Amino acid sequence: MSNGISNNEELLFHLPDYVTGKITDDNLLLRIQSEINSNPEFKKEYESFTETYSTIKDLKFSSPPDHYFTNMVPKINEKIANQKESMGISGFFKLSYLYKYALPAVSVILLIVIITFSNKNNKDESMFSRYGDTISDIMKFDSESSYESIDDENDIALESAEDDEFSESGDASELIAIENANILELYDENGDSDEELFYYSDFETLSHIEQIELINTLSETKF
Amino acid sequence: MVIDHDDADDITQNVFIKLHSALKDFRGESALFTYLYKMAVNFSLNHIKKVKNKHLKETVINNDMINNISDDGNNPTDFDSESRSKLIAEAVAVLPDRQRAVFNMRFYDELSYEEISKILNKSVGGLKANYFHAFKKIQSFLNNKKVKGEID
Repeated sequence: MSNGISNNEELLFHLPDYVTGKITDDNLLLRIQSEINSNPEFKKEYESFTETYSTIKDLKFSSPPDHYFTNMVPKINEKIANQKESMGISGFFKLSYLYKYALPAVSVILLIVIITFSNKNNKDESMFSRYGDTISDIMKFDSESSYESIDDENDIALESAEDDEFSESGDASELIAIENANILELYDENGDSDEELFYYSDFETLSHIEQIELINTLSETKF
Repeated sequence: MVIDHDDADDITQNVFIKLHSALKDFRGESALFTYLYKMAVNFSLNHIKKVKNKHLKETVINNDMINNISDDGNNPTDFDSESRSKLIAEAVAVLPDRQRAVFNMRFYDELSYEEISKILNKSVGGLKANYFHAFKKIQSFLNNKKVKGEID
């Protein structure tokens, strides 16, 4: 191509449309006509295109026979029906749907579970680190208190031993026996009592020595 | 575009089947004609690619294809007309896919560049260049045949 044509590349690209009569823009038509008249290379190209067009312009593809169109719709319907049949119920679970909906949903659920559990672990760890001293203090306190409780148990054992000593003494057992006997005597089967001040009456029934002993014993008893 | 009538038949049916399933997704942003035409072109280009993978770049123009070509809807009656139609069909068939698509849409279907641009997602300037080069290649093909004396 010469410089004259390459400078008018835009017009050259419109040449096929100019030859086939498809340009409607008057301004463009004038520019092309002017270029044909003034530029011999462009004119040569135009004549070549015109010749080609005159060769191919009469070429037309014949229309398909009528039965082609009448048969086409039933064929398409048949193919669609076959496709639906082949898909059936399994079509609902098509892989494309899985990719579209199920996979994102499952991944989101997994993500939530992972985040939840990781947060929980972090929380436990942070709680331990935050309250670790407190927990160790509590544990320490528990161990001390256990020692204390051991001491308490010793005290209780000691007390019970003292109680045993007290219970082993004949005076105390006698006193208890008397009290029980008095209770049995004073209460009838219905649990009613005729005398409300039976302790006083019991005490009065004792001898003077017994009364003194009882007083001494009671004064030494720890409640 | 696909030349073979049976292939064209299959593609047409597949396009309508696809339209049946995809119509619910049609948003009306373009005309239904453009939507349908785009689908048909894509199906045709995919088919051509498949055929090319099978037969490489070998283009076979058989008698069935030529029988689909006539001057005015009827089968060619004289030998000159028939041979010329055959040569032109061959010239169009050997064009690169994109240029053939543009040539068919512009020359035979008389679509505007704007419509072709929507269908092929190409710029109008690029389409004009494609059409020009397609025209030039057909011209070159026919000139070669003239030199060989196969055409007047």
